[in-house]
Amino acid sequence: MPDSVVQLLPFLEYPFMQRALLVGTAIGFLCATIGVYVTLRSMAFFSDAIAHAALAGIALGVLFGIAPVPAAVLFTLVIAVGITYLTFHTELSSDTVIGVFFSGSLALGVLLIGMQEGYQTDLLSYLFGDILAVTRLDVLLALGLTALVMTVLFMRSGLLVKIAFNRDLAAAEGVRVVTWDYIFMTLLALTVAVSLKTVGIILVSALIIVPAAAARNVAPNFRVLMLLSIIVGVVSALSGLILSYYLNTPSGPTIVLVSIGLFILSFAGRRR
Amino acid sequence: MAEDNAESLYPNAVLLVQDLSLVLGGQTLFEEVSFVVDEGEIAIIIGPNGAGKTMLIKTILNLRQPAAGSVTIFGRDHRQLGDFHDRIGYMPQRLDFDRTFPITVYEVLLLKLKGAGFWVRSAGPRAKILSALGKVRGENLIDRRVGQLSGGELQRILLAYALLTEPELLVLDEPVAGVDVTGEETFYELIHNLQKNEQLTVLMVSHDLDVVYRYADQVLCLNRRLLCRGAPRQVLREDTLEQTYGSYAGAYHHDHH
Repeated sequence: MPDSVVQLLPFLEYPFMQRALLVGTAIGFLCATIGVYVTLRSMAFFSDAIAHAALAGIALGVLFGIAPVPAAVLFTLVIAVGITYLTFHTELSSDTVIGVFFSGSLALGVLLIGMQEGYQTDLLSYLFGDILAVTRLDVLLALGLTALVMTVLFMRSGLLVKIAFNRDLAAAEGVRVVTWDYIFMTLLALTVAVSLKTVGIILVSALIIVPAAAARNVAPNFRVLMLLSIIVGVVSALSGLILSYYLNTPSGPTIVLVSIGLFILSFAGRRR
Repeated sequence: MAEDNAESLYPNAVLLVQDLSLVLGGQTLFEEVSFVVDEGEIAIIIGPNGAGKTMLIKTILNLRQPAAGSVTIFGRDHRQLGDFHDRIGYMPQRLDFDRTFPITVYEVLLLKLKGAGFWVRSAGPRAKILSALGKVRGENLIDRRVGQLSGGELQRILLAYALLTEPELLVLDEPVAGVDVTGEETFYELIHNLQKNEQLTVLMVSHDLDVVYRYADQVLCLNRRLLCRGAPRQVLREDTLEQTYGSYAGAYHHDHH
């Protein structure tokens, strides 16, 4: 790191901050992109539920000695598939089904954490995010998963927008909408997993929803919406991390509060 | 094979529906529906609410799995529709979408164009989109947000969407639901002119018997079963209408006096 840069941005001296900023940029970008589709499909509650399901996944991972993040991905996928299956195959509204899975998996998570010996600082760091906990392996995992999810999201964006806009039109054009529902859920579960260590379980859905919501206030069309959402996501993640360094606050809540600040600002530029 | 026989019986058939039945959740929505739509024809499905019209359209387009029967479009099984959906333009009855979501007419139409990059603005797709909008007299709507369009404007955009890939068969599910009467007439004229100019085959649902008399080559009366089919003046009689609509037949006649 050149001296002039370190003088200007002293926190860059620390490898943990370098790692955190790298992961922060990646997840800010990723969450904001997928968030546009999540809000377009009114899946905010769904994304919140599968984020909370990650807690049980992590606890299970710790209990059985599996790496927590892959365990979280698997468990959130099970919950996501369960919600979708029951919504399609019962008379219950998706809202109700999500509510059941949300509280059930959260209860299971808390119960499993209680079964661990001693005070679980490691598990708590997953709740609100902890930049100190981001390891080199986490960085590689985050960048790899981000690259994978972003590739699918951008290569297939036309298709995803079409499904979100109207499922019947998409299906009439031969799009396998149900298959894509499951693919989209997998991408969402991966996004949540990547974001766990930085923003934490409780707040990851905010990072998914808020940038898209702020962008929606101002964007005249879909492409500007996507661009603005990404800008809000990345700016929130970076400035939130830097603020949390100076204020000595947990990274997750700081990032989310910055994005909420931008969301409030977006009302000033609201289009008629 | 039975299908081959049927095809040789109807050499001009664009759409061949044979003994089609749909059951959803244990309830029969329609059964044993058979008809043929020939090339260049306008066929109109009529029937009361709940008669199964929309479900028939959706089943034909392979959006619902039939309990029995077969559908052949352009001589091919409709289950392979993914391979030739470009040749069919479909306009749903209602377009359920979030009206507050920022997406423009241009962007929606861009979604239909294969191989057109969604993120980069380029001249080729825009010209195609303008041409499709021209057919529905909607060029001025290109940069409008879809959620801000009036009912009539939205119908024209949906028609432009259906026309974008220059289809040979148009399938329209009650295209004027929610449009005022003057809007309705212009819309049917539009479809009629398009059908003549572009040699289209049209299958559509309508509530309006005047429209049926004026434009249909073939009328299909549906109420769970197909109760009549043929040229409107030959098959639309008091008895067939009463069978189709029950005792409320009069309510479906538009009185212009």
